[in-house]
Amino acid sequence: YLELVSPASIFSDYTWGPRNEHVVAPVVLSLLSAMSIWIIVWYLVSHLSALVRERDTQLEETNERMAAALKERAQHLLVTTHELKSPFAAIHANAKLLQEGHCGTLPDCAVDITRRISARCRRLTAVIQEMLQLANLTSASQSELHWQRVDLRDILRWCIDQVGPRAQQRKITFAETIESAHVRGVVDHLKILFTNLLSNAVTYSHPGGCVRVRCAINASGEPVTTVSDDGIGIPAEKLPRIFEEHYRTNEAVKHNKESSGLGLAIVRQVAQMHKIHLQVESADGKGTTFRLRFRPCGIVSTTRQAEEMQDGLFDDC
Amino acid sequence: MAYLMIVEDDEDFANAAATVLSHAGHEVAVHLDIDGARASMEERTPELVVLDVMFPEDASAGFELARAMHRPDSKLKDVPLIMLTSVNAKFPLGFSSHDIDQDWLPVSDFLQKPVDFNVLVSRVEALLQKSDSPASKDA
Repeated sequence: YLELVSPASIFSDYTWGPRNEHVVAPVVLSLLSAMSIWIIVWYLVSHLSALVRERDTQLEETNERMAAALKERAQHLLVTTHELKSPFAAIHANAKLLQEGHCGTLPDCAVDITRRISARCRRLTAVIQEMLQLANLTSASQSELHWQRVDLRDILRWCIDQVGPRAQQRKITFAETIESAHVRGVVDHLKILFTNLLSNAVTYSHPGGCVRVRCAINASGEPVTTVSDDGIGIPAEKLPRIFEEHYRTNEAVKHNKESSGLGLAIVRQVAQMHKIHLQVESADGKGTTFRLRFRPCGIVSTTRQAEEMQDGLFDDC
Repeated sequence: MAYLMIVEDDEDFANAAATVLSHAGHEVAVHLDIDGARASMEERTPELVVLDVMFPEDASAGFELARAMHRPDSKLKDVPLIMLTSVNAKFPLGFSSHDIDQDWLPVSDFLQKPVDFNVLVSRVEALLQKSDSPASKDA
């Protein structure tokens, strides 16, 4: 049977002293240590969490200031480049005046110089245009842009049309294998991206060359586009740098004086914003291929696709 | 009347500078890239070189060439060098004649773009005269 013992009597059986088998000191000590550990832990935790909260606030403030500074810088660049375009238009107009004989007949040497002036102004205006584009791309916040479901086939066809006249001038032909492929993107940005790639392909091809444009959906449902040329190519050791702003290879400069070196920086910026996987393959003298793998976009019809959408691998279009 | 070399990747600028210097009575060779310039200098030593700092692919190619020319064993080490520079955001360090140094920046003079061609011509003449005078010639 069970003997009921009062709590006090439990302890009365225990006495201090090493000779007794039941000793109260360890129990009380453990309790006290446990309590003090808890107090210390509680203090530390609350102190630490206060520190973390303070740090969090500081970081958030710094973040906001940095974002504001970046935006201000990009907007300042936009205004500056706008202001630059007008003076160069004026210079170009005056050079044209001289060239077209409005100030009388000029010696050949002088006509040559006025041609250099106009050509340089045109180049500069194009450079300013590209700087504007790049500033626009880097300063726009995701929420301001108009994201929509687009068919890459329409975009590619539009861009090929744009580049057509220049291609004809250089006797470059296009070989197209373009299927319909939907992605989520900003139409204007994708147009700029592909126009730059196609324009480069035409520029750095040899006269009479062919630019191949392909677009298809791969086995994983991802739209993949490639733009390839068989032109001057890029030496392997210079490949890592081609997306740098203003970087141009010596080969490129020799082949075509007129470029700002911003085209691929713009392509990279658009690719980053659209989460496009960008790959380049090239060799000196062997031509260049750009391969762009887009995030898949479509109706979620399988569990696997639904999971992937949750993982952010799928765009809901 | 001297044989001058202009090493500059901007063809329009190089053409303008060459025109001005040839009208001042000199023979001028223009090279738009460093390698071509180097090869040409080996074949025929110029009496003065006008050299840009920045070239495609290498923002300090001009400095490298200047240093290569001034190596103790180089036959080009006595050739006067005028270095041209534009103020460029990529190169926030501003260079001026204060930075001229036998080891680091072995040039005779520095000019900032846009260049006043009168200034360019007079600096060229001054340097040519200095290197012509018997006092400065090696024994």
